Amino acid sequence: MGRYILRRLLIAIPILFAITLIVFSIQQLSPGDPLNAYLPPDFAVPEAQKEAMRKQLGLDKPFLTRYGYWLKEAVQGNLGTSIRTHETVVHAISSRVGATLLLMGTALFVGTLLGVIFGVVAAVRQYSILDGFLTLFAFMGISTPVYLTGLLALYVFALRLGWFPAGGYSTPGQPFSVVDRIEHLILPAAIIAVNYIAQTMRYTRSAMLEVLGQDYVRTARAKGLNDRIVIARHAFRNALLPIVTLIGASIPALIGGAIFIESIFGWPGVGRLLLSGVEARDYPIIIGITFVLAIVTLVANLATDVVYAFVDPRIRLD
Amino acid sequence: MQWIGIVALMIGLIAPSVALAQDSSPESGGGVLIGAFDVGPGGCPECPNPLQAGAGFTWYEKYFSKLMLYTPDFSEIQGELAESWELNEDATQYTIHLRDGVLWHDGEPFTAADVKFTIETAAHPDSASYIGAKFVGVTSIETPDDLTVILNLDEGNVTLLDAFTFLVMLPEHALADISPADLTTSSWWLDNPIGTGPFKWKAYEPGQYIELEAFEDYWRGRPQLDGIINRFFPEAGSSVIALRSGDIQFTYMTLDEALGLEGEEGLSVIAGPSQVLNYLGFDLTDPRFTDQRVRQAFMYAIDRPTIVEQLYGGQATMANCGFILPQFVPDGLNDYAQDVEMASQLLSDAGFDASQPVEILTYYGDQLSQDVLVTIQQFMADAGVNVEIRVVDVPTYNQITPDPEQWDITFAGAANGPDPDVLSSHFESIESNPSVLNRSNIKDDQLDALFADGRSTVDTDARAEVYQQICQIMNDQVYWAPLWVATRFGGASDQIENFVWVPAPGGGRYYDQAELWSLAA
Repeated sequence: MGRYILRRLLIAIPILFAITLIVFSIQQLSPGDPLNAYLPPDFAVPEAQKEAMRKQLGLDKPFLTRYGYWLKEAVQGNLGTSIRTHETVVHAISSRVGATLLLMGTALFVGTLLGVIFGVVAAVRQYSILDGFLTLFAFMGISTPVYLTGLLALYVFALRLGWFPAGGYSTPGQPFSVVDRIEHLILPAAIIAVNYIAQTMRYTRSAMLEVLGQDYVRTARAKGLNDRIVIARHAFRNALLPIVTLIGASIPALIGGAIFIESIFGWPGVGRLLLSGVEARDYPIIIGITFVLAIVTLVANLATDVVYAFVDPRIRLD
Repeated sequence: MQWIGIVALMIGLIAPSVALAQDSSPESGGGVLIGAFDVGPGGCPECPNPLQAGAGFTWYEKYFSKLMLYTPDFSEIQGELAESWELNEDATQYTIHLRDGVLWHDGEPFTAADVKFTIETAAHPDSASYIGAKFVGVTSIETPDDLTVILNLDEGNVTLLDAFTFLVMLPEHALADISPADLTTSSWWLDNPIGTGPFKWKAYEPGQYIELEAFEDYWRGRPQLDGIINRFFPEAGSSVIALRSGDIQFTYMTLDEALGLEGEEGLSVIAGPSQVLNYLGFDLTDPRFTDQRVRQAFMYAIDRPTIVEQLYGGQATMANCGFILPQFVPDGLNDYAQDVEMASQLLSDAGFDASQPVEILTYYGDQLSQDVLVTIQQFMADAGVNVEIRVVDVPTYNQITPDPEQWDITFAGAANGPDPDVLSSHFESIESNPSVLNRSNIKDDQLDALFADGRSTVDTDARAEVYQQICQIMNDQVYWAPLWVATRFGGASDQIENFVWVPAPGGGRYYDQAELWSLAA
């Protein structure tokens, strides 16, 4: 297994390299440079001034020179400086990743837990009223765009009912308090969690249904085993594989955040940083975040594959 | 260092009277005001450097100050850190007298040296400041004493007064060791900037808010509020919900949001002209638009009063040239009342090739603008012109428009006030002024001469007459099809007392008496 992991890690290096080159090129192709994003459309700026700005931003250098420079620095852990705020990219990401981890971690944890429970229940009671209700809920959860649910939730729970603050990360000007943070966390985390619940539930339900129809489950039942043990030990453990895949695929979002929800709720996370980076054509930020996400994704995929071997001993990695 | 003693003595003399003045005002609750000051077109959230920002002045003015500001109705410029000023008769020399007893947030006195430092820093090419670029005509700055600044200009220019309403004063004692290039990327701006405004820096939470606290030694007296917070809302719609739920006390709003707020208890809608002209800008290098009759046909085809009434709900003022302020608009302008027959006639007289579609390019992605463009498309179709609409974001728009090959007509907005010279950068020919932003490629010797004249005319009435002539030419030639100046909106909680806010391009630049704002308990 050690050799397998090493080999996978080595393959990851050229993949990462290719990803950065592609992102850098796409960024290059997108219309408008950071200067175009910086200036309002009706502002007259003399050419000399524009040249000075371009030079300061390093935009006067050819594409490959800029990429080469970026790569050299990136290898040494320096991802450059934001064009808009002059913050270092490493600092910009690291100072926001905590907020994103809190939001996405809460949502993923709650979402997976409830999703698995609902999925198992729905499968065991297939075609019951409960199953129908949960399936309907899952469809709605998957089909409703989060920017709609986000605004609706703000309107209903913050404005009409006044249960939660209307967005934000903390009450401005107040010293930090855990209660305050949780109050701000509940709405956005719940909306993202609903999506996770819906997804996880659907996967769990279909995986469970497949397993429940297998011979060994029937055998276990025929042996006269307690139904609860059959479901928990024989069926659920074998249905875990797709759930592990799903969780593995969600890991990058823990770092990448949720662009829409973070924007609607004013949550100072990585997703929002990426969106404002794109709007400002702030390419060090865009590429920096993509680079970090690429690393996390590669590692998460590897980790998922390794976990497979534990969950299902029939899988051999070597 | 004798002057420090003198200044200190004067402060000692002034301070008691200020304290007295405060005592006589009704006791108010202090408190901390939270607003979405950087939402909307007048804002620039988390833009660290006001020398490089194109907007956000409402907020910058809470901790920085300018030499001059407009009155809230934008009718005239009044002194802020400048107490008074004189221009010589051809506007080539400015003598500015500074207010005495003004302190920076760190307790140092504000002097003429700071003014000289600020102008020189801003105008330095390495500062990459478009505001600084307005001062490149300044050839020398004299500071005969601590409270007097004399500017010498290479040519007469009265618009420097307007430029001063953009320029925040910077402390020489804190920044003299930083080069202009380093200053643009310095962490100073978001770390601990020092100004002379009513509030001073307290905290910056990236992605969340900036918090300021009352400056005890503000020259007009300590602000009534204990502090003021600028909360960031990446999704503008969320700020209105936060206002309605009482989380914040002020935000910018769109027309739809303002209509939705009507009659809501405890909240007031503030409306005012945007001072932004919406127009159709023709690409004059395109042979289809070189004929004046074609451009006029667009004006006759589009029923502007109907659009203003139906789509803007009456919340826009018709423009028949670049300006709408009465002093710049002469009598007898053509109001281009809708006349489809006339439009078709003009197009056929000019031999307009209607087989090719005409593309209107815009960076306005909001629903109202989309409705407006679809309506214009319909009106133009009635006159036999096939219009296509293309919406891009601002960076793309800014990249495309310098190249006339890539567009036909733009639907855009341009600030047309407070100073009428603001439109010169769009209408002066590149030949006469290489630094202008003349995307339409307008070349009109008469306009060039008049705009230059307007800049060097000191007398207010004589100057207004110049812009009336400019207005007449714009109305007749239709290099741009002027449409309207829309109303913009803010929403404020009735809890705020003495609150002054009006929309302005880029926000702020007027005296909003922030030191008198207070929150009712």
